[in-house]
Formats: sequence, C-alpha cells, structure tokens
Amino acid sequence: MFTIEHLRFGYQKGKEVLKGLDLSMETGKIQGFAGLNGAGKTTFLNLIYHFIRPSDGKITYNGHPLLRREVSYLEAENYFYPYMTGREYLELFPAGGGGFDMERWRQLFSLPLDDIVESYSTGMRKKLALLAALKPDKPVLILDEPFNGLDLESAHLLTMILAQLRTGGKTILITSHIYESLAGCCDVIHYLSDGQIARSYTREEFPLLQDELQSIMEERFGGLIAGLIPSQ
Amino acid sequence: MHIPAAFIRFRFRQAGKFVKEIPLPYLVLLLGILAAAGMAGYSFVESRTGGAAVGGGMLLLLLSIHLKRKDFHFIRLAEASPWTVFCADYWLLSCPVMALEAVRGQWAVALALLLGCVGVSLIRQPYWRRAKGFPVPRLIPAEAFEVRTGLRRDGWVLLAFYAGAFVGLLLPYASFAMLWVYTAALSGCFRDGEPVAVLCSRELPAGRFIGRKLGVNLRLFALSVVPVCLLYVAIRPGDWWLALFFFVMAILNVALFILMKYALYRPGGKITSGQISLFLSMAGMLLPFLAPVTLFLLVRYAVMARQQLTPHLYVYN
Repeated sequence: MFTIEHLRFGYQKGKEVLKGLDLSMETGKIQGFAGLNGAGKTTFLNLIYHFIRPSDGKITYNGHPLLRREVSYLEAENYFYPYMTGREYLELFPAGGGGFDMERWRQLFSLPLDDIVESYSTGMRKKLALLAALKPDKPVLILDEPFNGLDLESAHLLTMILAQLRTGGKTILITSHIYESLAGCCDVIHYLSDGQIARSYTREEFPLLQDELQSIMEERFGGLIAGLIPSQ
Repeated sequence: MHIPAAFIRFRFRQAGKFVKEIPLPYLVLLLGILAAAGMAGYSFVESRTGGAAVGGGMLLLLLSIHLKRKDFHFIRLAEASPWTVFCADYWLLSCPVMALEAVRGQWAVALALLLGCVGVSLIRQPYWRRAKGFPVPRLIPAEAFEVRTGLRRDGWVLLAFYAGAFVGLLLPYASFAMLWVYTAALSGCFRDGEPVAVLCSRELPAGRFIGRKLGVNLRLFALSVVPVCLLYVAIRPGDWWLALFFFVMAILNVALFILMKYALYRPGGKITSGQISLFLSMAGMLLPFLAPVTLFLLVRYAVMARQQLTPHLYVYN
C-alpha cells in the first residue's frame, strides 16, 4: 500500500496548501489527481518526491517511509541544458535493472536524438523528459501533466505505455487538467479541493465525477460567461 | 540609417546599473586593472602593427559577441531594425579603443574599426536555431555535459584559441596569453544551471556531487592544457616555474567556474551575477598579486555551492 497520513504544507505561514491530507492507495495502479488550478496537485507531488519537506505527516510505501530513490518524477514544465542533444540528456540518467533500449524508444517516439534539444518542438521535449523519467525504472512514477503538448498520436501512445507499466507492477501518480486524459488511463481519480482529497472515484464512478465537475463549473462560471458574451 | 535612440539610452541605463551594483573594493580593483590595460594599450598602439593588432582583437571580440547574441527577436518585437541596434552597440563598446587609436594617430585603424562594426552588425542573425553544432568527440563523457555543450556552441572559437596556444610556443609568453583566453572562454560553459532532474540523476549528496563534478571537469581541462605547458617547458626550460604557476592558476580558475555555477544555481536558469569576481580571479592568472583573491573566492563559493545544493540533494545524505 501507498499511504499518506496527515500531510501538511504551506509556502507561507498561516496559509496551508495541504491541510492534513490523508490517502491510502493501492500499489500497481494508475492513480489520477484532479482539481482546479491552485488546488495543490503539484505541491502534493513535490512532497512525495521530497522536493519540499512537509510541515507534518508521513508518506509510506509498502510499509516503509518512501525514498526518493524509489521514485521517478516528470515535472509539468521541462527545460533542458542549452546545446545538449536528446541522446546526451538521456545518457545522464542511469538505466534501471530492466535495461533501456534507447534505439527502440527513439523509434517509438520518432525523436531525433542526435539533434540539440533547442530544435525540438514542445511535444518532442515532453517525450524526451518522459523517456528520462522512464529510464531509471523506478517502482513509483510521478507524472505531472504528462499529456501537455503531446499530439493525439503521442497521447494515445502514452496511455498505452502507462497501461504496460501498470502491468509491470509500477505505481503511477498522474495529474492532468483534462478530465478525458485522466479518465482514459487511470484506475482511480482523486479530487483535490481545499487542501484535502475531497473524494476518490473508481472507474465505475468516473461518469459521476464528470457530472460533478460539470455542475461545479456551471455554478461557478455559467452566469459570468452569460453576462460577458452577449447573445446574437 | 535610423539611430536607435531608445536602445542607446537603455544601454546607458544598463551600464549605470551594472556599475552601481559592483561593491566598492571590487570597483577600485577593476578600475585599477582597466587603467593598467589602458596604459598598456596606449603604448602598444604607438606602432602601426600594434594598432592593427589591438583593432583586430577588438573586432574579434565583437564578432564573438555577435555570434552569441539572442536578442534578434526582442529587437524586432520592439519594432527596431536589428542591424542598427547591433551597430550602435558595437560602436559604443569599441569607443575607447577607437579613441586610443585616434589619439595615437592611427586614423586608418580607427576608421577600419568603425567600418568593421558595421560589417559585423550585418552578419545574418539568428544563429542559435542550429540542430547539430560543432562536432564533439565521444571521449568527453556524458557527465561533462557542460564541456560537451560548450564545445558544440563555441567549438570553433575554443579550437582557434587552443591551436593559437600551440602556435604561440614560437614566441615567449604568447602560449600563456592564448591559454588565458581559452580558459576565459571555457567559463562560458558553466553559466547555465541544469534541470533538477539532471542534478538528482546521480543520487549523490551535495558534497560528493560537487567533488565528482570537479574531478571529471578538472581532469578534462588538465588533459587539454598539460601538453602546451610541457612543450613550453621543453622549449624554454628556464621558465618551468611560470608554466607551473599558470597551470595551477588555470586549474583553480576552472574549479571556480564550476563552484560558482552551483553557488548561484537556479534550476534551468542562467547565471548572470558573479562576473566581477570571475574577472578578478582570471586577472590573477596574469597578475600574481591577485592570486589570493582566487583562493578566497574558491573557499567562499565552495561553501555557498554546498549550501545551495543541499535543499535539492539532502535526501541522499
């Protein structure tokens, strides 16, 4: 099990982003995290990767405190060292026990690995960063907005890769602003609101989540949009 | 030609801000070094050959600046003509040299420099959207990615300086002058902060990470400089102490570039501060009385680098 107990964190004193978050997740599954902008999704992932230290709470994985050595992290925004080629970037990451066939991955993602990354498109950069996260073959994979910038084909390919990783026993934590992207690959979606997990939805409950999101949005913005854009 | 007055005012404001931010002791030292360089230049440009050499050096410097510029799109966005802005910048930068040449009666060189600025400005921009760059030898390990990427970007310039160090063996001290420029050019390799993912990829605590980084890069640098120093000693055995001093100072300066990169580390950001410290430390290679400055900066930046990296790498302690 992947357990998070009473996780608290705030960037400023008195303004907590996560307010005693509790969550218990099954390992070997794809866990999605949804929420409005500023709900704390990225902060939550940064805490799991130990980028930042929580003010309280603990994170355990299979009964022991989760170590960064067990986690790979794909950040939402990816930047690269200037004038570095894709191949050089990947060579900086040690391959995990399962090995890493760079040539086959290159073919799968159609990446010009010998060109400098500055000549890559946004989607190609995202794919390169994803390969770097996959290469160390860690048991826990954190993917923050992995679908951003990917074309239709690559997004579908990523969904297939995630399914394959789940079969291999990996635990995958994934965020996205796009409901359809999460629904297409996750086993469970956790909805973050006000620094807590408001509710977790299993695959069967995904339509319910969609309806709830729809009604939240209607309530929040429906009237504003109607007033803003005059009807013909 | 339309004069880009707004950009010229902007450059003066930038220069004023730059000077204001220099701590007073550094400013005094800097002015001293510049005055010494001015006096040396004044006596050097007396002859036509000296004047041409100084003018040519200035043009080379402007060319290397031009080839690295990335503000082409910014200038276009500001609805100015890039080449006029480039030209105005280069005239401003070469003003002291042109004045020096004119005062010493080298009118032809001053005029050539003036026209040279126009020529450099007209070289087509932008360059940086290259897919390949200078070919990098595989013997440089992936871990030394700063050197690999630096070579890819400035390979021809570095190669020219390095080859110049061998050619300079024919004259006394010329090799060291070229090696000094080569070392200074290498500092450009260590001006960018890598992403945190790369920083964490080796899973090492801050101290060991810095140690390993120094080991890999200093070994590479020493391998490139030792042949020149050994040949120099073979040709001029009496100057062995000079070669040794220069070699040690060059190694210390490269170590400083690396430590400074991590002391001022920002993930994915360019390091813009610390230029004066670097300049003073590099001056220590030519003016031995400044060598303690290098040692002081080394210790200072080593402590800072460890502190700066610890929040990112503390989990590997």
